[in-house]
Amino acid sequence: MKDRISEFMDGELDGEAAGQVIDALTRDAGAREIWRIYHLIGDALRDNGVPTAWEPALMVPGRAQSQPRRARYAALAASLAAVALVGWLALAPQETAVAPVAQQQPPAQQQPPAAAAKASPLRIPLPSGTNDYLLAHQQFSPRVSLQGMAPYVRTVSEQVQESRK
Amino acid sequence: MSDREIDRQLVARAQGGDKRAFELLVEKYQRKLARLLSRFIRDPAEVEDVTQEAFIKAYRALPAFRGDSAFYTWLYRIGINTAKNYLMAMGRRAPTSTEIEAEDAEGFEEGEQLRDINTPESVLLSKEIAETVNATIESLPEELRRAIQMREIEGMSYEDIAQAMDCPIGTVRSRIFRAREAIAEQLRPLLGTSKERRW
Repeated sequence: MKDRISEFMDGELDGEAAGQVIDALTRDAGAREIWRIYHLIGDALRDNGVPTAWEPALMVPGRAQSQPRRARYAALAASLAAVALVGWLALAPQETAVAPVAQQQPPAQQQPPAAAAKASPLRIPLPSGTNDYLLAHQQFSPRVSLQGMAPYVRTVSEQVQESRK
Repeated sequence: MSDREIDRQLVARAQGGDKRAFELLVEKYQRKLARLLSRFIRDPAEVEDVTQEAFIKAYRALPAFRGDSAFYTWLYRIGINTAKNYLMAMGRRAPTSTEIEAEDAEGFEEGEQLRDINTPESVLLSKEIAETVNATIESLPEELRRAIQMREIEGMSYEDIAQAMDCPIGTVRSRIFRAREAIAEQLRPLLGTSKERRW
């Protein structure tokens, strides 16, 4: 049958003989392997030495990959972006929480630029009972993200040190 | 039976629900189509994806294929449109109609200027395949080498080869088959296939 496949793919078989080869090719995996190798040889020869991929029937519907490669890349990129966002939220300095408060300071308390650069973080006087309120309600706060929690943790810690002094 | 008639019969079987028949068409044309699309898409992995998508589209559209044109001409158009849609979706420049029309589907032949479409993972195997084919061709007896080259490279019919080699058609048939088998025997260890199969 190999010689018949060779003839058939060269267009040298007609009628019933051709039909028999097609029957064999569609029914027998060994015959299809011969068909595949013979076509690979032809492609390799026509490419004049350029390497030719051996990718047996990867493109047949039903054997197709469940997810295109670009979709996998997009999923990977989205995962990296999500990790980067969470990392940024967790590690970025909380400048936005401090800046509005600094603007509220009276002019008399502002320090010269050189001294301001060395200044310690602002201490915000809070109403009495605020710490208890924050601690009691923190777990119920809708702002459970790291960005919302970090200022509270810092403020409470500072207030505890202040009370010890 | 011409090459177009072979495709027509395989298409008819595939339209009748025989997926194996379409698989034969895929195995016949996948490298040719991928090389065509590599003219418009640089990344080999993307070429592979778009080629695969083109074959899937062709399979789904197969019931509507009436055979007015050759199967590869039809497949070629699907491949080009798939590549254009892909490039536009990626925000990249799609080939113009002038560039596309410059490539005649029927007359398209892979030239040496075409890029290698292999993925990095298959480069070594592909190189070994090409080297094995070339080395085996060089080691073949002169009459076998000439016969297979006239058939595969020049596209000559058995009758024309018989005239060129001044021998009967049956001898041409035998020489081409023996040449293919000699090369296939050297390729099988690389491809992980067995000679002990029924065929």
